[in-house]
Order: sequence, then structure tokens, then C-alpha cells
Amino acid sequence: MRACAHQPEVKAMLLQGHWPHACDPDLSKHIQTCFKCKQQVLLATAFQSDRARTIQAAPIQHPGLIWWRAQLRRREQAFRQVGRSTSTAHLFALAISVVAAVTMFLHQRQAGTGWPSWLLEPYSALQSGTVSILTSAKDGVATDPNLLMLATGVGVLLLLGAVVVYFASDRT
Amino acid sequence: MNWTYVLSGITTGNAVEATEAPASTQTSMTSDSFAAFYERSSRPLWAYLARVSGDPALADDLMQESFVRFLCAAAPEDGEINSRRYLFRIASNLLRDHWRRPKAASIDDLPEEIFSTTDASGQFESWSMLAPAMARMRPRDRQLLWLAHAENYSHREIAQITGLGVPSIRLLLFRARRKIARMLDEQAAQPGRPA
Repeated sequence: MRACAHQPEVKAMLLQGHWPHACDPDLSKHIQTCFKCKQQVLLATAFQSDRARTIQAAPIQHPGLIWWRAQLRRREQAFRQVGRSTSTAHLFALAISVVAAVTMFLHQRQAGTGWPSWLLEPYSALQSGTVSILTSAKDGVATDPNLLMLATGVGVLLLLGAVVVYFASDRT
Repeated sequence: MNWTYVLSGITTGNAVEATEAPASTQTSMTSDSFAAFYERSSRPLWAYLARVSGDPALADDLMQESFVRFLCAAAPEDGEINSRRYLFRIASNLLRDHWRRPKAASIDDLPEEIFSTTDASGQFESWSMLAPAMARMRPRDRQLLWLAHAENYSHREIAQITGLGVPSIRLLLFRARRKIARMLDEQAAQPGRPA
């Protein structure tokens, strides 16, 4: 892999297009005798002539077409990026709603308002068949006024959650 | 992210300028400047792709895709030389993806016979002295030889284009050069061949 000392000179001469007619005679003599430099000249001339001919054969399209395709792709990418960010925001809102609902539920349970059991009352009533759901709820609210506020809050949270889920699943 | 900027970009059809500003090529390249850049770069790029792949039709496809990706990506802004090198890098990656697609293995593990090119357009090859020798080389060797001897890129620039290390390029290029020079010599020695 040891390079010849004349190789940079040969390379510069080739780049300037001096080979073969405008080449320095001494350098030309050296090229005839040096294997490395001869190889370099052989490859450079072969590749450069091939490149010149291949370039002439290149079927080139109008740049406007490429520009138009790039515009379309960029727009598509931008829409995808915005859609991805919106979906993330929806999921984040959904997660916050769920966390808020669970926190409220646990807090109320610890406070001992007894409303979790009230929520189950209509179900028990339906099972027993003696009391209607509306009567049960009305009785529950009458015994504890805070339950009305709590039920409203839970209702709002459920509504918001449903809206968030709808938007998060809306891919169109 | 500045949403109003992004959304206004989308509605006006300039979405990428908005999302990728200020590093995008689009911020500095207008349709006219791109046309000029395309005029100067497309033919050398096509020649590179056609010679390395040995397939002019594939070269057409990859060249278009390279330019589209170039326009969509955040390209270097400091001059046409860097832009062109970046374009060659995209094209090289596309070529590598193309070679990798049919087989899961690394392209280095595949036998050379697989890469022997059979060009459909005889006209494309008929005048070329280099084509038969290039067709017998490994794709990576073709790539390195073309970049070094046809495009006159330095080892460092080839490293940037191909993603290989400079010492590896030096070694691979040394071997490839020796191999193709031997083939060209043999070819020149055969009767009826252009010298």
C-alpha cells in the first residue's frame, strides 16, 4: 500500500486535464516506469471518459416534477406530524381525566361520605325488585346534599372522557 | 412547537418551511435555485447510480427519490459542494437499502455473482470500456472506485458519503483499484476490445 512520491503530482496533473498531451515529459517518463502511477493514470482516464459518456446518456426529467413531488411529501409529513401531536394531546387529556376521577373516588371514599355504596344501591334495588332506580337516587341525594355535587362532577368527567376518547379514536 | 406557525404553513402549502425552519433546505432553496442545482447535479448523480447499480432504470428511480428526500430533509446550507455531497450520501443510502432488500444478510456476505449486472439496455453499455470490469466488482468496490476516480472525492469525503471509516476506505480502495486495473489490463490485451 506504499504510495509513490509522485502520486500527488500525477493526481493534480490528471485533475487539470493535462494528460497525455500537456503532461510534463519527465513526469510522463516516470509514469511509464512506475506501476502505481501508471495504474492511477489508467483508472483516472477510464473512469473520467466513462463518466463523460454516461453523463451524456443520462435521461433527465424536468426539475419541476421533482419539486412538486417534494412539496406533496413535505405536506404529507407535516400533516402526519400535526396529527401525531394532537393524538398525544388527546391521550394525555384522557389520562388526566382518569387520574382525576380515580383520585376523587378514593378521596370521597376516605372521607366516609358513603356515596360509593349509594352508587350500588340502584343495582341492589333492581335485583330485589322493590325500589326503583330513581327513588333510590332521590333518597340518596336527600340524605346527603354533597352527593348531588359529587354526582354532577363525576358526570362531567365521564362526559369529558367520552369526548376525549371520541377525538382520540377519530382518525379521519 | 409553534402551532400557529405550523398550521399556517400547512394551509398555505409551505408546511415544511414551517416545521423544519430554519435548518431545512427549503428555507434557502427556491424553485429556481433548485432547478439550477438539479441541472448541475442530476447527471453526475445519475451516472454514479447507473454505474454502481448497473441498472439505468433503477438509477432513474433512485435519482428522483434522492432529490425528493434532499428537498424534504434538513440539508447543509454551506454551499453547493456540501449539498452535492449530501445528495450523493442520500443516493448511497438508497442504493444500500436496495441491495439489502432482497436478502436479510449483509451485502458483504453475499457472493459476487449476485451483483453481476445484466443490463437490459445494450446501448448503455456498448460504448463503455469500464462496464464489463465494473460489473464484476462488488457493489461497494464500484461505489468507492466511482467516487474516488470519477467524482474525484477525497477519502474523507467518501467517508462522509458512504459512512465508512477513512482507514477502511483506504484499504478497500487499494484492493479495488488493484483488481479493476488487472481486469482492464486483461480486457485491453484481448483482441477486438477497445483499448
